[in-house]
Amino acid sequence: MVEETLDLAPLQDVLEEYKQQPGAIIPVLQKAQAIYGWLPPEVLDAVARGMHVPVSRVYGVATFYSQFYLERRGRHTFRQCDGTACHVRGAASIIEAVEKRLGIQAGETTPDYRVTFEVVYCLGSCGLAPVAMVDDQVVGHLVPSKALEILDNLE
Amino acid sequence: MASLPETEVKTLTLTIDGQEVTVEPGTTVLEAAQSVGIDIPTLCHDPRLEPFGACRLCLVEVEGGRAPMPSCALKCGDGMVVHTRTERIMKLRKFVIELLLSYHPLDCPVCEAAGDCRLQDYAYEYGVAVSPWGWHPLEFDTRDDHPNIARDPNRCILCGRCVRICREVMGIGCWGFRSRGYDTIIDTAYNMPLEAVDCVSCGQCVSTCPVGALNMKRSRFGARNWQTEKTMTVCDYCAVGCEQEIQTFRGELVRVKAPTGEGVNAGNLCVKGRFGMEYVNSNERLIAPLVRGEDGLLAPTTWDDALARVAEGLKKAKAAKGVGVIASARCTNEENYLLQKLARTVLGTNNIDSGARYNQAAAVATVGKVLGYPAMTNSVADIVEAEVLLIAGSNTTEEHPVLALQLVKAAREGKELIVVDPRRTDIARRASIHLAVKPGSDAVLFAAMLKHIVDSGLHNKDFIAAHADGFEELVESVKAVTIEAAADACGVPAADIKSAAELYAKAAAASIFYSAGLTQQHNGAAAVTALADLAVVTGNIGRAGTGVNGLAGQANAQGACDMGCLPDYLPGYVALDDAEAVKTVEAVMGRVSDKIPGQIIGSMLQGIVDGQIKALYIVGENPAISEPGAAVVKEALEKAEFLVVQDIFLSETARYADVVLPACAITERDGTLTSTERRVQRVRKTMDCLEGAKADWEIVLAIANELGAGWTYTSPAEIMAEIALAVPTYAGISYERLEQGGIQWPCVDAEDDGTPILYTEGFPGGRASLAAIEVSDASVADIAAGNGFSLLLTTGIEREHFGTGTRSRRAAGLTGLVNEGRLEINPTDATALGVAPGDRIRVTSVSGSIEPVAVVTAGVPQGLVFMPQHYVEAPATALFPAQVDPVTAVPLLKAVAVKVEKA
Repeated sequence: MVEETLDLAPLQDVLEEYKQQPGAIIPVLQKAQAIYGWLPPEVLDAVARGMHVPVSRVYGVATFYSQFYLERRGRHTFRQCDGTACHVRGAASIIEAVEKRLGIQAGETTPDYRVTFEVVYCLGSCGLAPVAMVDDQVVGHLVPSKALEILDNLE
Repeated sequence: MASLPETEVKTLTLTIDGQEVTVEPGTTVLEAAQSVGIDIPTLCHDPRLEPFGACRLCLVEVEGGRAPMPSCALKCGDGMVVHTRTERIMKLRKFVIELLLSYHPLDCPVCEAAGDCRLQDYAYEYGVAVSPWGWHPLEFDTRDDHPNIARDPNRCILCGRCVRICREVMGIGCWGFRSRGYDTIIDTAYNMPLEAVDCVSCGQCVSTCPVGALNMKRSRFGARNWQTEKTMTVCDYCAVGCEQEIQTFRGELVRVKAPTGEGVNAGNLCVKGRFGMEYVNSNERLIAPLVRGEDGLLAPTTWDDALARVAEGLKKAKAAKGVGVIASARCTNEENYLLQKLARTVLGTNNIDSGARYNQAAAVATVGKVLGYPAMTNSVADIVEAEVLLIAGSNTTEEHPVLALQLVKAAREGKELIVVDPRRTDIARRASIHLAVKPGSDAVLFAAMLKHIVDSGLHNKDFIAAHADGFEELVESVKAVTIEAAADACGVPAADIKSAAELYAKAAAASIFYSAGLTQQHNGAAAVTALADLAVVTGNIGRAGTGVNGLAGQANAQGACDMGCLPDYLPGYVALDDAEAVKTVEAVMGRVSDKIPGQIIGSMLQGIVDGQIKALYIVGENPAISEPGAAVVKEALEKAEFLVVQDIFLSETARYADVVLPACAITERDGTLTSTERRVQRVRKTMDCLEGAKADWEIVLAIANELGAGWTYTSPAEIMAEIALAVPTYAGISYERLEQGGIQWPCVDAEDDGTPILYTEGFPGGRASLAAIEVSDASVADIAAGNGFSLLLTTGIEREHFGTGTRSRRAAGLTGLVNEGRLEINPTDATALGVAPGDRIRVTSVSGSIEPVAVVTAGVPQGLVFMPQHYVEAPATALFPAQVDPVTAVPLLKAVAVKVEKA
């Protein structure tokens, strides 16, 4: 894995914007995540310092909400729905195929940080079951081969 | 002086369970109920913390209200009618307990908290035997690697008290809630070890945990709360005067607690107060008197033999007018009073000094001269009233941790802290202005602040006219000062000096705190005097939240001075040349044969080398390590014709002794200590005296009587009765009264409740005597180096240890945290010298050389290194030449030129 040094300058702008709002940890973390893709320890430390709260508090907020990622994410996110409708229409076989192709379990990220694979429960598009979200695109009526084709085409 | 206008305090009256309760506005229903003995169960409540309202146990019903309300957060209203035990409430409380017991482990038989557990108590009280939802234990597995603090998250009820006490009271924030729902756990960020998240090991989180999720690791499986005997006493480390509940089992100390709400500490303790008392159990304690035999070795003997030898040795030296006595600022008032009485009325000498020489004695010739009393003017309790706090030469969060909680709180509340310290200490990090002055330039800084205040017309002209002399002379003495030159001399921005001066002078109430960082510094007396001047000139004195608050070091440094363990003052600060006052003291104490001031510790040691002092009697001090001028100290201790050392351990000084007298620990004797806020408090015997040892006062008494004094004291209470006669500020103090709690002197008669704030009615001499600020030339420049000694070494106290470590280094609860002398060095200097963190390094000055371990930190500026004073293996004081402040005679231990190299 390549060690990259984190440029905290963009975060400082966010902190500057919110410095008068002591309670604004959530929007600050959201903006920080939009910048870095996830919330590395250096970012939580910087947020804590900038917001004048203990890092334990920032960490508490970041671990409370599932929207915050404390581990580095892939460049792409493949979210396969395994809600009732999708499950009945074969989501399990898609999950198995994707896990095999990527060599990781659901909830994990490929070592090259290309794809993060997640299993979620209902994307609200049951009519398209089995359905997945690839980054911000909804893909319906999936079968394993189609899922793998989409995966392989992700840069 | 200005007195506060009588403000009309409106009160509220409400009814709780049919009882009428009258309270002040802002009181919570819980507090109101407790005040009339109505018990409301709580789990997440601790009076030290802000209301949290999370546990839902303290629910009450208010007539006219819809839903039950948490009484911990509910403010009283006039005419409110509250019911605390309705059927609905009792059912809800039972429900909460049932929910908690659906996962809380029922491992009470092996839980440290059993018998001292709120949940256990309430489960019993509300008759919850099993949870109707079954039992679904948690299975968290987390680190539990702190030496003193044991964690079991599976017992945690998520009340958040540990999280909040660390944030709200300590101002740190080690703990937080992690995750959500069933997965919620109290943890450090990233589950890091506590050491890695700024934990100061105070154990405050343990003290507030209502169950057994956090407990004291070192006393686990020792004795449960109900098995122990409990005695209230006072901590004998620093001089804040925290009340401790010492718990003993079968005669041994098991644990230390601080009952919530009691004393100056209100339930808080620091790492030393909570985990540092184990030294009393040490198997290194002295259990028999030792005498040096013909073979040159110390060997045990009987008390009769030891006392006879001591009497003979002292008698011989007395005949040669060569006796010196060193008292302990850790011993009680009674012991110190007796010891100076022995010196003056039996041994015929004023050669009596104490460990208070290292800091507190400075007050006599500084604030004492300007204001009247050589003591802290205000109290811990009124710090909250200050709007601006000027903290100079005090690493408060480490040296006086529990008093520092008030400063931390002030910073959290947005009050302005101005910190003057060359190092970026914890309190400096919390300051609005940190003036990182060059060592020794403090007096220049304060002179410049004073000049700026006067030039800007910010001085309190009315106050000065009404209450102070010497203003013209003071202004004259700073006439030549310019802010720019001062900024240069101090190494801080001129704008910061101005801002600091303006903040301080303009505040409605501003208080000053200082400690050894000034008194042991070059120009220390000038700096402290200037602070007293600043307070008077701005009228920041005689009111809550103001004053000049010198923080005493050792537990009884104030008392040792009050009792006259000073070479130039009798008890009550009676100068030896004040014939009238001397007679009054003599009428109580007996004839003081010598009216010429005696020698301070350093001069006594030099006197041995020079041949004038033949015998030295040292009680509870360790000059072999604490005194600068190591070569002279060593020569003196070796050369002394007769050296008696009285201690609880064979200290480095005791190793030189001809006779060693084993004393009782503080937990084994009765007496009083006078805290830094002038509070005279009882220390109580919590366990039998170790067999073979005697209480210090009994030893002094025995020696006096061996010398034919014919003293008849039978208890410390009796000695206090004599002190009350000899010292006017203690006149109203008696053991009987002290049973009701400590009393702050002056307490002039039995009706007087004591004096929390000095000078509210004016100054004792009628007017304050402003003193000219004189900064000697031989100051900052002199400290700076030659001989390639390019760094300045400064010393101080670190949080986990105290003094020369005689006690703290024998408490495993402290040595498990830090047990090695570490030198702090700036990263730039470290890089230039090729020093890496953890390297063994050699630090050399003209006086000596020590080999500590390097800590690389930006907490010290470039050019400065810092080393704590507690390590006999690497005694920082050994690097300092024997030099004292010319005015206060306090040894200078804050700046010496050194070189650092890899060892």
